[in-house]
This record gives sequence, structure tokens and C-alpha cells, in this order.
Amino acid sequence: MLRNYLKIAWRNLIKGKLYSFINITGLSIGTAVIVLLALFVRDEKTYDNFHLEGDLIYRAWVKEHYAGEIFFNSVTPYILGQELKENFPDFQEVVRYTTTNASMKKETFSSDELIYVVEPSFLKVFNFPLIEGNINDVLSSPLNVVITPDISKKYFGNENPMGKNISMQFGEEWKDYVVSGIINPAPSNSGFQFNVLLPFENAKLFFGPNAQTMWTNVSVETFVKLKPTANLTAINDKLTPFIDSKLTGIYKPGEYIIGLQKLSDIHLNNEIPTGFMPVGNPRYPFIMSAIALLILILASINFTTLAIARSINRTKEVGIRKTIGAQRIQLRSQFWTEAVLTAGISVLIGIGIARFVIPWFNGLVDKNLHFGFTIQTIGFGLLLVLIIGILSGAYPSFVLSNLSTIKTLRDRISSSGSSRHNILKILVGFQFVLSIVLICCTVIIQKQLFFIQNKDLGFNKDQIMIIPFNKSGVGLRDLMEESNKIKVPLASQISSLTGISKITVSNHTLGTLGWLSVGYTDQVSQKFNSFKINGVDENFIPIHELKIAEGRNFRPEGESDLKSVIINKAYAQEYHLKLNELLQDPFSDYKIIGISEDFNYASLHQSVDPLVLTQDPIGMLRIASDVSSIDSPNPKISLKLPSANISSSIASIEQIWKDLMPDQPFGFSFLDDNFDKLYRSEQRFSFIISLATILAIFIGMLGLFGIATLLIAQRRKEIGIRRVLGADLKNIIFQLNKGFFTIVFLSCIIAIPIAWYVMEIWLRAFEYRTTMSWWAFALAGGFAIFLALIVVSSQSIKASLENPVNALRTE
Amino acid sequence: MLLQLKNASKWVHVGGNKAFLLKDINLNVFEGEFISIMGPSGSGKTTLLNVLGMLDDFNEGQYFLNDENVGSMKDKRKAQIAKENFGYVFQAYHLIDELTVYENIETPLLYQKVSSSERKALVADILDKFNIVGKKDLFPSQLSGGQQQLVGIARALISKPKVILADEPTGNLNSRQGEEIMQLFKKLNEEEGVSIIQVTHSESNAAYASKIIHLLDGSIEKIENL
Repeated sequence: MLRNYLKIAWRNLIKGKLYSFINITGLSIGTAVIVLLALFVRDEKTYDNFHLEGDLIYRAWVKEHYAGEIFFNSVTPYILGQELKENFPDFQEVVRYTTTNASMKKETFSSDELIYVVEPSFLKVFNFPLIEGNINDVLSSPLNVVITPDISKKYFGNENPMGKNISMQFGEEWKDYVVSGIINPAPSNSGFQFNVLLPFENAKLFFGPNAQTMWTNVSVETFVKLKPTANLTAINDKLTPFIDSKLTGIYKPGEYIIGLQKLSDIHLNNEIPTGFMPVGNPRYPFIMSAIALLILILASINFTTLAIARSINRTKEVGIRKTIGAQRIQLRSQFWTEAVLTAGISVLIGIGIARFVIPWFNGLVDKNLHFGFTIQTIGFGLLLVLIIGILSGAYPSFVLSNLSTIKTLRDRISSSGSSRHNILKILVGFQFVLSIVLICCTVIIQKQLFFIQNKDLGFNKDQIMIIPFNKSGVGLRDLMEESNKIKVPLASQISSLTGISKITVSNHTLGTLGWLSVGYTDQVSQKFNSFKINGVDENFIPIHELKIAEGRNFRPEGESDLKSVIINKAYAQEYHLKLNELLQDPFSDYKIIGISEDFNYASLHQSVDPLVLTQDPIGMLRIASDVSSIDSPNPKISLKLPSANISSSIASIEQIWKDLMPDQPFGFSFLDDNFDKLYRSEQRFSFIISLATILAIFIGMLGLFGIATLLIAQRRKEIGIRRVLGADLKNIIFQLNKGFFTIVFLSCIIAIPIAWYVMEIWLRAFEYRTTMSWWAFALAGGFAIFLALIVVSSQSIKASLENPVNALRTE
Repeated sequence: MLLQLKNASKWVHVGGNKAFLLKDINLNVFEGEFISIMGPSGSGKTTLLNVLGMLDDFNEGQYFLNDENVGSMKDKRKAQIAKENFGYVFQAYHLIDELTVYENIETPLLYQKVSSSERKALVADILDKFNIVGKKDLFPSQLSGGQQQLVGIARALISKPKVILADEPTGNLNSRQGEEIMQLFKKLNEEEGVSIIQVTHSESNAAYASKIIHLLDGSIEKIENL
């Protein structure tokens, strides 16, 4: 029986080539999209889920109430781990780690590496298997180091590194370490992307005695592994009084809270601040899943609408089968077999497409996904076949198998006015609604990206090159002194070689997310305030073409502008300050010599916060009671390249740099690139939405083409009669197109408010946003109508040009 | 008695009035009978045939099949009874275009869950009897009208029905082909005892039967025994 069904299904597939092509194309694209996005979602959802007993692992967080503000951190005090280990028997392991950048050197070769400084239990709590070395002692001596094969290759080539020395620089000092183990790199869906592991004792090299003992200084992430018998609620109940007792006199009870967050929760929970591990946007897996589902629905609708349009030709077959004894269930099985066969072929092709485009998709989403044939993925494929098959075969199998025998044999099923046509209209309309919503979103997203990229930011970001001082482990102050010292010879050499006259040194460059934030308690109101500062020199403003609204720029150094500051308008407004006044307490040593126009120094997601430009950042930081910054405040050189000979200028600058500072690695970026990076996630998002839109339109139009072909073919006789009666072409084309246009037009009316609502939510993430102009929606609607016009007219024109005699003769 | 219609009527409503398709039909069919139904267009021939074949319902009266009242049966039982007792032959042959001759004939057996070896034997048998073994792998579109109707009859007979219901079986055929089909019916009726009820326009074809029922405006005008 099944063989018979399959045989008929196959013959029908071959017979209706156009429809099979449309169905299979749509469904295989849908499958490819689903496979790729499912891999993406799985990767996002399975971060660090491979650790044995991972559900017993938690990360500690700290919430601190200070002067009316809440400081929430997933990086914890250094001593927390120690205290937890000593006082909480419910934890079988406690592990602290921190990360730092350090220069690494083997003989003459040196480079900068990200170092994970971990407690030995790191390898026991987390499942990162060693390739060489013994888990119990690889990290036992402070001078051991464990590296990945990549690092081994980089520094030791093909040599076996075990037992050999490699040196690292913390502060001014180079220290020798012995390679005691080689470790597999973490899977790509892990938050711990280490290359080098150092024993935790080394943390003392860069955390001073204060940082090691104070509860108000956060420096390391603290993980705990519960005993299987432990009760989380009981632990939490114990934690609060324990912390309160440790901090009596400093904090009131409840002002300093420690909590625990599940390991598996870290990657997609953006309510808890990011620590050392990357946090994904939890909306993305959701949006991706929605898009995948949407495309699949579109393709399945094609299958259904085509089946409806074709059903007129198949009613006869249903009738015959019924008279010769087919039961409903048998007919249903037959139609479902056809749908499942089509789905099966499509899924196979779709998986092929997915495998083919995975490398490209990986680049797009910045991941390392791959599709292997495991029981899991094969099961997923089969499930997909069943879902698509059942979804798309539902209409034919239910409706066609229920047709009355006698009517089907009389061939009296008319092609118009029946309820079947209403279903057809609704389904086609639904496809259009989805397509138009997507088109609207694409237009608005593009409009916003264009707006961002072209907004007047208040400065000129073109051709500004940034070279960071990279030396790690040196205090900010020393680094700044060094950079200021080197600035003059560097500037004069660059000027003589390339003609670039000005360079500037600053703590922060424009277009980075988190500048130094200075917090203090206001003497009068006793409220906690904060503002941003950037240590700059007299060239910062001219190089970036910032506008000074009142007052003047800094004078060249030596003219004692050390205690002068330039504030932005936002600052002046917030603190009610005017030119030549002193800053508010406790910063009243500083005098305002200039007020700049507001410029968007961070991303356009954020508003322009009050900002102070100073030549004495260290002095201001010293006064502050709280300092934080997301970006490193290490000094960076910025300079404006001439528009000609950019690459030769860069080469000369690199040469000068290396001559002057042989121990400083040379690296550079461009300001406008950094700006683009701020919106990379939007650009990625926009690209995915655009792609989804194109695919959705493509699938939808394929379906529309199929339906137009079928329905117009069924009206051949009517067209023939109209022609004989004297209708002209225009009239006939209008008649044929009319029905489709009503659908598209109504779809527009439904789709536009939906799109408007969705985009309203999306735009809220931006502080500076484009307007949702009516023309964006008109454009989207017009585009949909235009496409439908082309697709439907191609068929209606063909039909109306046919000689009416041919159409009538066949009757 | 094989089939018995008692006071059967069927109507549709046209603008508030009943338009009778069948009016007060009384008809008895015995096993092994060969009946022709004649009458002008619109006299209800096909409707009567469909009612007899349980493809169509009626509004009033009773229908007994093997002395069992069809009206009180559930749909499933009806379908079962129809499957066991009737084979249908159509003017337009109604073969399934996507299936070969062999598969068309085999299909009713598939729906009756006959085992594969038995199916093979039965289909081979009937192909042989109808002399169309050579055509078994052809599709309907590759056959002449007469050959298609032969396949149609073979398909109707494969499940060994008691009655063949034929709606203008020769209507689309030329006279020579039509005669062949009639000869076949006659042979089936006489040699195998299959009852045949056919609707026809042609006097000469009607004469193959043992009884002709003349219909007019949905009523039996007269019954002619030959």
C-alpha cells in the first residue's frame, strides 16, 4: 500500500513539474534557514552546558548599595572566594579566576596574550581536559603555565613545550614560567576562551594588598560547586547574615548582598552585568527562531495554496478512488504521503544548502557552527520532514478526502465562489502580510542605520588613526607619564617623515562604550553623582574638529592649564555651571576654561552624558570616591592621516614607533571603523532581516506565480468567451488582476500597523533615532504591489493574448 | 431478491417548490438480471443508477439490499456493502491518469487489503480474460476509448461484485467498440451470473438486456420485458 502511495506521489511530483519545483524550492530554502538558525540558537542556548554536574556550578554576584546608588557586579571581591571556602561546607569547590593581558616572550619572539589566572580547582570544576600534564599538579607551583596547542605552536613551533621556559611581563618585570601542561581549547560555546592558564598566586602581581582584602574592590570572578546534597535556598539564607557580619560598621544589613547565578544562566541573562564572559542578547535566539518559523510557514503555505489551486484537477481522482472503495483514511494517507515525500526531498536539499553556506553564515554571526550527522541531527531532520509534511499536507488530505463522491465525478466543482477560494485568499493574504511586515522592517532598519552613520556626531571621524599603548601590568599613572614623555619626540619624527603636524594622547578615543566614570558624593545634597572624564591634551579638540561654544581650548603644555577643564554643554546644564567658574565640590580646584558643544563620544544608543576634558585625569581620579570604566583608560595616540599615501604613512609611523619604543607592540585601528563596530550587532541584525525578507519575498512570489498560473488556466474558457464578446486586452488583464490586488491591498492595511509597532520597539534601543516616515511604509507596500503586479500580469497577459478559438475548442 | 426500491423519491428545492428528480419509484432487481434504463435527457436515469449504487441519497422511500434496509445503515457499513456488491462503469471511463492499466485494475484490491500474491493472481487473471495483457504497463492516455472502457470494466469486476452499474458505458465509443462492450456484458451476465444495470440512450444496446425500464420526468413510465 505504502509503495503504491509513494509511486503515485512520485508520479504526481514529476507530472506537475512547475508546482513541484515551487514547493521544493520554497521548502528547501525554509529548511536551510531553519537548520542554520537552529544551530545558532542551539549554540547560544548551550553555553557551558558540557561540564559534568554543571547544574551544581554557580557564579557569585555582588550587589552593593552605596550613597543611594546600587552597584551590581558579577566580578567579586578577591577575598570572597576564600571566605566562602572556609565558612561554607556546602560548597565542594570554590574557584576564583581573573583575566589580564600580558606580553609573552620566547627567546626573541614576543606577543600580547590574554592570560587566565585561575585557582587549581578550575580544572576540576570545569571540564577542560588536559592533553598533557596531570590535573592534580599542573597548576601547583606559582611558576607553572598551561597552554593550548595554538599557543604552543605560536611560541615553540613543532617542539614539545613541556618542561620548557616561557617568559611573561607583569609590570616592568619579566618572569620565567615552566610549561607544565597542554590543554584543549574550550569549545566555541563556552564563556572561558582561554589560551594560557596561570596559577592564581600570580594575581598578587597586579592586585595590590588592598585589592586582596577589601570587600569594596572587585577583581575576580568567583565560582562555587555545590555538594549534590546541598540546598540552594539554605545556602542563600546563610549567605546574607554571614556577609552582614563580615561588614558590620561599613554597611547596614542588606546593603551588601552576595547572590549566586547558575552557570547555564550566564550567557543569555543580560539582567546580571557582564563579567569576564561574553553575554549574548537573549532576544536574538528568540528573533532567529521566529524568523525561521516564519519562512517555514511561508513555504508550507505555498504547498497548501498550490494544493488548493490544483485540487480542481484532482477531485476527479478522489471521486474515482472513492467509488472503487477507498476509505477516507486511505485517501488521507495518500495525500499525506505526497506531502511527506515532497518534504523529505526538500529537507535533504535544504540540509545540503545549509552545509554549503555554513562557513559564510559563521562569518556573518561570528560563530563556529558546524552540522554533523549525529543521531540528534538526523532525528531533527526527520522531525522536520514530519512537521512540514503534516503541516502542508493537512489541507489536501482533509478537504479533498471529504469531497462528496457524486459531485466530484460530475465535475461540477466550480473554480470560483467556493469556500476553498476564501481559504486561498486568506492564505495568500497572510503570506503578503508577513512579507510586507518584513519589507517595512528592512526599510526602517536601513533608514536607522543610515541615520546613525550619517548623523552629525559633533566631530570629524574620518582618517583618524589610533595607536594604543599596550604595555600591561603597569599602573595607569606610569603609563601616562611614559606616553607623555614619548609624545614630543614621536610627534616631531612623524611630522618630519610624513608631514602630519599634530598628534594627541588621550585616555579614551571617541566611539568607545565606556569612558572613565567619576563618582562622588555631593556635599550639599549627600547624593551620589557621576560624570565622565577623558584625559586629553591641547591637540585633542582640533584633531577631532570638536566645536567650542564658549571659552578656549587648552594651551600647549607648560602653560599651566593643568587645573583647567573643558566641559560639555550637558555638564554645564546638569550642574548649572558657567564659563570661568570652578567645578562643583569636591573638584573645585578645577576651573572651566571652555564649554564644548555636545558631541556623541559613545554610541548613539546612549545619550550624551556630562563630560569633563582635563589635562590632569590622575588628579581628578584621586579626588573621586568611585571610579569605573568599561574601556581601558590606557593612553592612546590619535592622529589625522593625510588623504594621500595612507599606507606609506602608516609604514613610516610603524618604523618610528619601533625605533623609539622597541618593547611596545605596534597596533592601530581607525576611528571610523571603531564607530562601525558599535553598530555591528545592528548591522548583523539588519543583514539577517534583509536576507529573511528576500527569501520570504522569493518564496511568496513563487507561490503567487503558481497560483496565478493555475487559476488563470482554469479561467481560459471565460477569457475566450470574453474575447469573443469583444473585451479588449486591458479589460481582461484588469479582470484577472483585480482579485489579486484586493488581497495585496488589504494585506498592506493589516501589515503596516504591525510593522510600525515592531519597529517602534526596536528603535527604543536607540537614544537617537530616525523617524518612521510614512514613505517608508508606502515604499514597502508599493514594492509588494509592484512585485505582485509583475508576477500576476506575466500570466494574465499570456492568457489574454491566446487565440480565444483555442480556448473554446477544447470544451 | 437482490435490490428493492420502495416508493423512492428524490427532489431538490427550486425557488420554494420541490423539483422531483425521482418520483415514487418501485423497482425490483433479481440476481442475474440484465436491466437497461432508458429515457430522455433529464428523466432521472443517472440519478436512479446512482441511488441504486448508493453513490447518492434519496429523500423518501426505502431501499433494501439483500433484504437489508440501507436507510438504517451507518455510513461505514454502507460503504462496505457498496464495495462488496457494486462495480461501477462510467461513460468517461474515469481511469486514474497517473496509474498504469495494471495499477488501475489493482487499486480496488488495495483498498480491500487483499494480499499482494492474491492481487497479482486476480489482476493477471482478468488481464488475460479481457485480452489486454500486452497493455498492462501503458497509461490510460496511451489507449483507445474502447480499450480504456475495457480497463474500466475489468477494474469494476476485479472485486467480484454482484452488480455492475454502468452509466452510458458506450456513450463515448464508436458503434463497433460499443458492440464489443455489449457483447462482453452479455457474456458476463450469462456465463458468470453478474447482474448488470446500465443506463443507455441507444435502442440497440438496450436490447441486450432482459428488461428495459423507461423513465419519464423521474417516474417509471413502463417496464418492458424482452
